[in-house]
Amino acid sequence: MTAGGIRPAWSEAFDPAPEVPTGGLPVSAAWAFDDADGGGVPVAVVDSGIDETHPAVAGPFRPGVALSWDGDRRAVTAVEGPHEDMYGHGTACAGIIRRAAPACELISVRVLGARLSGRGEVFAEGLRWAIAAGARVINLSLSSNKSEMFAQLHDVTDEAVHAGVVLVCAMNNVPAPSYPSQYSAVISVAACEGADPFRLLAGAAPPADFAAPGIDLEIPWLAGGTITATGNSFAAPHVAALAARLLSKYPTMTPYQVKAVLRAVAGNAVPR
Amino acid sequence: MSEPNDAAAGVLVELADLARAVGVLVTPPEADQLCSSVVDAARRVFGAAACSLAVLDDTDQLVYRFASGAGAEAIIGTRMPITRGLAGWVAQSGQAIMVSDLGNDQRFARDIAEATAYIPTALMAVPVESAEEELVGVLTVLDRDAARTGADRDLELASVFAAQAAAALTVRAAFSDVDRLLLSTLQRAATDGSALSRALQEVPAGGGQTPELNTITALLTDLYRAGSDERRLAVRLLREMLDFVRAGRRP
Repeated sequence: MTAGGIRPAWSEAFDPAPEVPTGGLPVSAAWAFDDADGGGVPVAVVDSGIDETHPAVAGPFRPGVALSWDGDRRAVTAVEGPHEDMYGHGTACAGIIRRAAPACELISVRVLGARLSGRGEVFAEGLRWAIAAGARVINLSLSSNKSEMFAQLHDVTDEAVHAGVVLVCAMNNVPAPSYPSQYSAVISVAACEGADPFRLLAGAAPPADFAAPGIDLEIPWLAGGTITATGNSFAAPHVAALAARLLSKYPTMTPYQVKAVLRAVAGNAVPR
Repeated sequence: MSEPNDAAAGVLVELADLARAVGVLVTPPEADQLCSSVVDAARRVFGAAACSLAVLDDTDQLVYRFASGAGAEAIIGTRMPITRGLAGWVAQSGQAIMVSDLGNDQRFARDIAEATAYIPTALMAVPVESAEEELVGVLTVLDRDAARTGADRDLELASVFAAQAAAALTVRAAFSDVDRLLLSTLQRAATDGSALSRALQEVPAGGGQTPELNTITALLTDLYRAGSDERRLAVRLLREMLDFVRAGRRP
């Protein structure tokens, strides 16, 4: 039983963590991550914004863009440049990414914070903006449960992967489908216990590809502070950081190679 | 001296007000009772200090309508924009959030303290969504008993309570939108240049929380005008569509 006594959906598949085969890949965590820091890898956080003044976020940073829905024009409006994180969630994700990838370049893509209408379109546009901005990794600790967004988000996911962008998505916190976390082209992440930024478990069966710390985890929040929270949201940035670290060492890797290597170096992977 | 259209528009506004009042009057009391019952049952099942249900209004504000436990009376009626706070985050993201130690989230603490004089340590908040996948509110549980047997499945349980709350809120919303439905139906029907149609142009358009209902009403009005054969065809199509939807509905 955890201190908060709660588990998000899909995390139970990792407690206990099943053994998964490496597929014979001759790689190790040391080969993948040692002597790397994420340097030179742009990582977009598509979320509520990033408070770049938070001590946990300090490092290379690009203000990015704030996107919102213009109901009159029925179109997405983009304002590039600095913006606030009004909730703390995006700052939390950014701070977590810094733990294993301290030198990566964080890019804030704010898609939440205004009105609810047009939310799905704003979300999809945020992904497109991040791809066009040159992100190599996108952290998506958000998802849409709207079936009407299925096709559009599927298209954007393909655009990302075809552009060589690693899309890391948090699984839904409740046992219901959400997009794009359900798609096979993304790296989907559920929460497990622990706080080690290098803790990584591979899933034995879909839909969750991996688990990383996200249960009763101390995370950066508003006004330079922290809270202790639980959610698949906080697991995904751990994996985004490991992907950035891997790409800083092996920049030519494709998203599928990144996924295969992460699986082979997971803590529960066995050589067979 | 006011124009005749202004006077007629005034009458229509009064008519809409009357419809709104009638909507409130005829709302089944069970809808509100069910919402109150959901938050009270949730508080008891979770062994929590408090539980509340905030309802999303048409200005994207969360209005705390139902509450049970510590600070319940004080928080009812409190309005919070969805652009701040943890409940706002849940509304925006459509994702549940579970915080076991609010630490120094002063913004959250201040909001709650101002409203209820109760400062929680832990919080679980889940989105309340209609069958059409639209957000209609947020269910918040404060300081639940995390040591209870089965507490690790509380998020699933909270989602069940949220589904119950969504059903009750949907019934409630249908009655509270009677005024807008009436006006939009009249606006659609009166397009003949009559005094009524001119007056209706002076009245704010319908919309609100049941835009799909307004659209359906508008389409039905058009079909009604098209002729008796078209009406019969439309009824047949609608029945076929309903059968198709019912057969194909996901569990």
